[in-house]
Amino acid sequence: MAIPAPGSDTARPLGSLPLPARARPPLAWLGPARDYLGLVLLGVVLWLLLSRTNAFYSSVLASILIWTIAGSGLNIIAGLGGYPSLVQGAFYAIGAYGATLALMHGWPLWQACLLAIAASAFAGFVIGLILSRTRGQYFAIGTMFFGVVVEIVLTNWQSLTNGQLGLDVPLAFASMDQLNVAIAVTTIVSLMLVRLVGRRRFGLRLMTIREDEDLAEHLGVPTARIKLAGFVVSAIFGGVAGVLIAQYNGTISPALFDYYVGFVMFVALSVGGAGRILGPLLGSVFIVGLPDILNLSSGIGQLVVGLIFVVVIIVIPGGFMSAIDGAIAFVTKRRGRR
Amino acid sequence: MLLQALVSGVVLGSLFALLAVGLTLVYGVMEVPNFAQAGVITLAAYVMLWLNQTIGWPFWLAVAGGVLAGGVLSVLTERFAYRFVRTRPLAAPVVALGLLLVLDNSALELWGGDHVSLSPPYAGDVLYLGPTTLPAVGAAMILATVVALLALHLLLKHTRTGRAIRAVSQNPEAAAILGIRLERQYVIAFFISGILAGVAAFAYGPMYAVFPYMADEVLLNAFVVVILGGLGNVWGAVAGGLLLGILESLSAVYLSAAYQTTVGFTVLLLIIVLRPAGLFATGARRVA
Amino acid sequence: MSPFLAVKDLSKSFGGVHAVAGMDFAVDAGTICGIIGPNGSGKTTLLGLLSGTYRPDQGTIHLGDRRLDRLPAHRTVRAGVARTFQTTRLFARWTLNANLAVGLASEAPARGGAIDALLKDGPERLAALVGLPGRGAMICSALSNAEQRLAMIAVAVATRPLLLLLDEPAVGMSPNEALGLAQAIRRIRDELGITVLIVEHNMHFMMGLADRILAMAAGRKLAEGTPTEVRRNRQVIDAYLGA
Repeated sequence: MAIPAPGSDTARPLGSLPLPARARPPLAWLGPARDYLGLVLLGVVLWLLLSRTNAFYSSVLASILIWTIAGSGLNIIAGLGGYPSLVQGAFYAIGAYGATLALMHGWPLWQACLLAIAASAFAGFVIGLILSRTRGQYFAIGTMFFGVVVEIVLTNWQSLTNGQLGLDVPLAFASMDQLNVAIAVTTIVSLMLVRLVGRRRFGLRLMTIREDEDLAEHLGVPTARIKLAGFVVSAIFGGVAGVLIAQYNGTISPALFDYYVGFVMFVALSVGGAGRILGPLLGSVFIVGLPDILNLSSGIGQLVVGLIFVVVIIVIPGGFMSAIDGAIAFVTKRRGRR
Repeated sequence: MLLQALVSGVVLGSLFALLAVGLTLVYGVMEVPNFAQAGVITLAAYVMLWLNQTIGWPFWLAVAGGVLAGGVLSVLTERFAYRFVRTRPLAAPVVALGLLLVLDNSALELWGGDHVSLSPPYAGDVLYLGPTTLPAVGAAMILATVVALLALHLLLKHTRTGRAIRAVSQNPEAAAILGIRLERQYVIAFFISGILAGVAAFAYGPMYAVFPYMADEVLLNAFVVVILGGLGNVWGAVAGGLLLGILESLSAVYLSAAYQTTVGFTVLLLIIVLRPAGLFATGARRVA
Repeated sequence: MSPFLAVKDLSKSFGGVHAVAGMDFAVDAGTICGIIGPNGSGKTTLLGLLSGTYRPDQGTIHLGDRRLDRLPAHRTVRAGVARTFQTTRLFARWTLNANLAVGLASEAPARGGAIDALLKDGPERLAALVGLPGRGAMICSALSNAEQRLAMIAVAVATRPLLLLLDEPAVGMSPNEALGLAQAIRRIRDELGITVLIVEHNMHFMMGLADRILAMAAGRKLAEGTPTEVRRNRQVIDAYLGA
């Protein structure tokens, strides 16, 4: 029994090309600029929320946004490419440890960031190459194991990572305000990059792989290369998110990055809407924000969260974004009738 | 030393095989990575404990109850969750993780997070096999595995149900055309997988401890085994389980206990690179 | 001068079964060539070898001076060979135009002929050429079976091939629809100058369409010639009747 074409269940494709003809959206005359302007506005709002709300809400929002960055990366390989990667948490860890170690050795922030990016990209390249012949659930299980491997290495490579105790992160931003700006800007840039990739040939090719990899190969898409590139790009987003979480937390330890994190990042993307630009944001709000804000005791909280994963993914296959689409379509239709 | 390591390896390998067979059976018919099986093991162990220590049932009756509970729970995961995502490969890991959270945390809420022990009547006994020793709980693990897998073998080979399951895992479309009711095979495969999880709980609980996340790490090993043997390949899972158990046990003795699990992953890595369809695969039909 | 498509001693086996066993043949540029044979005679495997789906165990494939038999499928496309499939394969949730765009985005170099001129203004004229005028904005899964089969051909042509391989294109078509298909194939050859190789079970469909026919049985070439010659060939008749 062949593994079904990867991603045959995801929401509508991102790009403009494959969309069915729809009613003109508002402000369509702005062209592509409309989406980017919207994202900039969103960024401003997020920054205001980050800097103006109390410490508790601000920290919850910061975690959400950092997860959104990592999730946007995942959106490229899993959302566009249809490959269920459960290893995004490992790149997140590599970015965090890479940047922190560089800062501890006195490197300036930008160099530390470059190192984090290079390290996560390299890890993505190696893992992508190793898993290049696997598809579907094989790929999911394989990536999950790399999450475990990274966790084991972080725990056991005492001389580098200080093991379970973790590391104190040298703070590289002059103030919390600066860090908040960095988080908001990086989030929006991540979302914009996904928007951009989704409309470029690279994104189109990833989507052909999601829809039918063999057919794509026979239409001239170099599927192996595109998948690998998509995976490396995803890893870089994860690494950048890692740099920010290390700076935000002040300390890092393997417990923050167990293999489960990569799993939950994938869940967040699926629940929010895989292949949709705002999917990772909505998913992160839900997965990271809700348990924090509702302050559920850990057992019941996790139980409820688990239940919600299952229910959401069954009831709304395309995630929250598709539910929002449905709601908008419903409203426009009713307005049209009047 | 070597012999002793081999003996513990067989014990560990039996556990891996037991779990891997359940996973691979479910994968064979439905293609879902059933991470939730860890939660089924946990709850089955707690049910045994509860029946035995709170309700006061005799040990063996409680074990039977727990094993049955495992089967029922596993079927419930299929009926209420997996069946809806059968054709949606991207959704399967999400549902699996959600179910695992629900099951593990149900145990946490119902019975608390303490490590407790399930003690069978033979808990302290030790068998002497020449120069090596084998705790009775270990012997029970091996025995339980052998009995469970033999029963499964007979079921798969010699009953209509077994033939139907094998047909579905080889070619679901053709099986459906031949009038095999897929829905029924899903339920049966999940039930068997749950029973095996229950048997694992009975054998594993006394060796370590019962707590809400008791099976999570073991299950990772079982997934290594499943890939080792080839997803969907039952006998590959048995052979792979024993192989990995012995490998890990040897490496714990000769290398370092801390990296015992890493050995498993190294094996996994080699398999994925060199033989992506599994060590014992006959064809490469599951991978590109 | 080397022939347009030259296949020498091509072999492929799957688990001990010799699906294609030592095929030799050549195809001239600008022809429509049919490959016929009973089920299991290796036609589809041969097509898979030509398109880079499989790598041959031995033998060579040359398109002009270009050697194809070591290339992965996407490089084969770039070299100028496109294929369709026995079962309809399209990006079914996408519009026809989006499907065509995938073909257009292949890295095939400009061929400098009629095909470049046709595709210069986007995919509409190509859709019309295969008999799907004005269907560009439709979701592929909403097209009829016959339209989907035509769409699959259009998508393959969008990669700007020199050689088009069709695997049982008439499957599931009514006689009328098959007529439309035959016309489309002729237009692809006549107007775009693309050489076409068709694997087909339906002998009748091929008789009116193909310039040359190659009959296969058990992975080998049985006969080769004009449709009339092949139809009269004793061995071919026996192979079809199972004698």
